[in-house]
Amino acid sequence: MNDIQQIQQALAETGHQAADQINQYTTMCLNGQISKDEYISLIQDMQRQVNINAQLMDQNKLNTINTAINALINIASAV
Amino acid sequence: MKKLTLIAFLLISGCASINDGIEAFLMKYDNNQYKLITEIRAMSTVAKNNCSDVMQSKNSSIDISLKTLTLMNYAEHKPHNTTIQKSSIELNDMAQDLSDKYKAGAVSPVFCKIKFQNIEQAANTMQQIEGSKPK
Repeated sequence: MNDIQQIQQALAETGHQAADQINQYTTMCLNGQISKDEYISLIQDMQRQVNINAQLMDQNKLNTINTAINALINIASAV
Repeated sequence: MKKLTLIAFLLISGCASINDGIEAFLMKYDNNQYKLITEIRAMSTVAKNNCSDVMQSKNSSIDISLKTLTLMNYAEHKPHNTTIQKSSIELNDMAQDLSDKYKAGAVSPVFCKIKFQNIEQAANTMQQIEGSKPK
């Protein structure tokens, strides 16, 4: 499986999880376990979680760049 | 040699902007930040199991929202700290929302549990962000 297929699969799984979660919250709301306001709040939390996960991905990217910079500095220092 | 280093860096980083390069080079792990995030996670872990007690849950939500506000304010002006700055705003929004709902009136136990779980999970992700930074 190549990288693109892996990403596609990950996205599909994430999409399914999000859809399952929304369905779960919708059922809770319809059953009266949570109010409409609470339902909206939980959906907003899902977006907030996505935004935080995006920051984790950004951090991983920065860590990779940091490793590359330090490796280059070490190489340059040794020459 | 400095030019060689710069060229090699730009080649390796590909599409990364100069700002990303500066951020990546100067960012540092912050023990205070990690401790605050850990406290938020631990408090949420305990609170999610006490949702049947409304007063205790309300107090927990207020305590946690104060912690998330402290984290957000702490991170705000700390240089080269973008990922925690942005994620702490999201975490604080989550916590303030729950605290506001308790202050406004009754909160269902199911909602209480899910909200504390969401805060716990978000704090867990933020621990990964802060914990992975260079020491």
